[in-house]
Amino acid sequence: MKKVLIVDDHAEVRRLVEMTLRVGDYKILQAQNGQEAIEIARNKKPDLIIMDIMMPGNMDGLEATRILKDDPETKDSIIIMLTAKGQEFDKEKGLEAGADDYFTKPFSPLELIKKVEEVLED
Amino acid sequence: MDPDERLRFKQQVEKAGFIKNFDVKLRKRDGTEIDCVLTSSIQKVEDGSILGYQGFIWDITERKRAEKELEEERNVLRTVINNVPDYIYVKDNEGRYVMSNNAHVSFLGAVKPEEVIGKTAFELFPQDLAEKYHADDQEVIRSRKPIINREELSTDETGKKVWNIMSKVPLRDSSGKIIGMVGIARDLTKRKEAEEKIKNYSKNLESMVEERTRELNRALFDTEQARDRIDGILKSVGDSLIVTDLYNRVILMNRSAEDLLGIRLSEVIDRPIDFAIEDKTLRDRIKTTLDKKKSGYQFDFELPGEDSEHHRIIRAGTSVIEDRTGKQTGIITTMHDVTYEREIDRMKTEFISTAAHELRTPLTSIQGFSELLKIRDDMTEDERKECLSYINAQSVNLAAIINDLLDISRIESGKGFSLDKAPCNIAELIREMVPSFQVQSKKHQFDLILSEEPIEMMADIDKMRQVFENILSNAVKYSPEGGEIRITGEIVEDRYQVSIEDKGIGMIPDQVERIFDKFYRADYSNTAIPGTGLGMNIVKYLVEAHGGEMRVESEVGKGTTVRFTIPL
Repeated sequence: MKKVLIVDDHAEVRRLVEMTLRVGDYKILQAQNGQEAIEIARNKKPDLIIMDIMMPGNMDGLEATRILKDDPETKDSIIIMLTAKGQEFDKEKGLEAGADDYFTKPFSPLELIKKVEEVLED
Repeated sequence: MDPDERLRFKQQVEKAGFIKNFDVKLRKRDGTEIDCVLTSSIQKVEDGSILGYQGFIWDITERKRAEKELEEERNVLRTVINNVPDYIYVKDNEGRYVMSNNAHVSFLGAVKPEEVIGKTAFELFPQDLAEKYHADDQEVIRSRKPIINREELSTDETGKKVWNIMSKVPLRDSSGKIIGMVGIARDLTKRKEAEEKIKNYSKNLESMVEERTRELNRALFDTEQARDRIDGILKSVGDSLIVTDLYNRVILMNRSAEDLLGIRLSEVIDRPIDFAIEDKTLRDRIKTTLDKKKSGYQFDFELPGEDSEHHRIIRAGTSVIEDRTGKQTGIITTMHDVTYEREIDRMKTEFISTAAHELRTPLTSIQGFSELLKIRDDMTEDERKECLSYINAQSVNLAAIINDLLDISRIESGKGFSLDKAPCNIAELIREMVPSFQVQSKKHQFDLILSEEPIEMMADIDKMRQVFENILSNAVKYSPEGGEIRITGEIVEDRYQVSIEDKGIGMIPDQVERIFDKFYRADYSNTAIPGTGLGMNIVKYLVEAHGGEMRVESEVGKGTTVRFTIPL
């Protein structure tokens, strides 16, 4: 069973992603900030991390992505950044930080499922 | 003796029997001729026959020579006297003219000296002048003291007034006795006239100079007044102005420019702008404006601000100054501090992106959960309700955001709010509202300290609710760790004062100062905390619309207290 880590400071958004991914056979993990995400990623080695960019605290999604991709232990986790729609700037920064793909908010749950299945196929 | 002379001598002496003082030239034995005078008588014998001549011979050669020399000298003197342009005359003790030279004769209107000699001044001058001359003459003769170079007015032969300079000296004979006086005079009329002319001319010149000076002073005064006026205008202009000449030297700066650049005009006047302006962009633009001709430049440059992090942004424009003939005379540079405007621009851009983000959050929920409801048929009833409650809450949230935006645009446009005032009890309103906040945030503990007596005031209850909602939601948002939120309501003088105190993250003084600015968010770098940056601006507006006042106190790490009053 593939493990998916959802990182977002809004519980509501985490719940939405969780309910969206219920169609697949995924083990859902959750973190509400960057630090928590790194901790969980190191312990549970998720196959996929869905990472929000804007989060409160010292570490936003970009910084967490950079750290995870620099760490040999966690660099194999696929990271999809959740970026704000139309903010090309954030997308570029996300990919630069090492994210494998991006997805824009607001999103259609159907499309998110497709994207997740697509990146987890191999 | 010459034979002819001898014959003449003989005839004379023989006829009269003697001869007296007979001038004759005799020849001496050595042949030299001498002048002699003979006095002789005939010596006769009884019969009357001539025995011979008896007499004396005086050799007068020497006397003759002296006489001749004297005569020649006199001739020289006469010639000189008669030919000098000065008037020279001699009078005897009785004032009769004894001598008068040619110049004097013609001055008196006569032709020959004979017309003058023997006459007195009374016969030749008008009575008053004659009296004066006579008195002078007599004074010189009596006192024996000369009059030297006295200038006096006289009349010439035609009665015309003339100026003379005259000297009168006593005349003595060989024994030293005064026998009259000598007068010498010269016509000064021409010189006097010339002097007068020069005097008049210089007087004229003086008055011309005076007039010119007056005109110049007037012009100078006018110019100064005009300059004062222009200076006054330039100084009063709010924008900063620098005027430089064609050689990039500072000619003028107004007060505003002095303050902006932190220098005084007196320090840099007539010096190259490099001394006045540190910023290279500005300097270069000014220097190249002449090449660019009329259009000039419009550009921004930065000046150091209060501290190293805050630069001031200055909008500058340069243009060429031309005089009436179209000749270029310099460059005028206007500067305007646009730091605040740029900050507003930045905040607006920030606001748009924040507002978009704020809208995106509820939309993500609404779109996501509604789509799940649509496509999933495996959901439990509880899950369906959960989805619906998210959708509903976010719709309400969305509506609130839109209301904020509408409120601010109403305030912005100057329309404001129409308050629907009615008697209401604020304490009651607070008691009613707090439970819903308490439900939303379990981490916070709301404490109410409200005066017991019934408080009634005229207020728009919906607007007051909006005020509390904003302040309370801020208190919750900015105290993420939870803790006490104390709400105090009390009567202070003729007002009802409400304080909302949290134990949150607090703010630095700069953030407190700007909290009521439109679009300002104390935490704009932290977009994770929702908010449009408009809430406090709207709240302050609403409180003030009720005639109240609003204050915020805060300390980083300690928390924030928002206090407002509403008149009773």
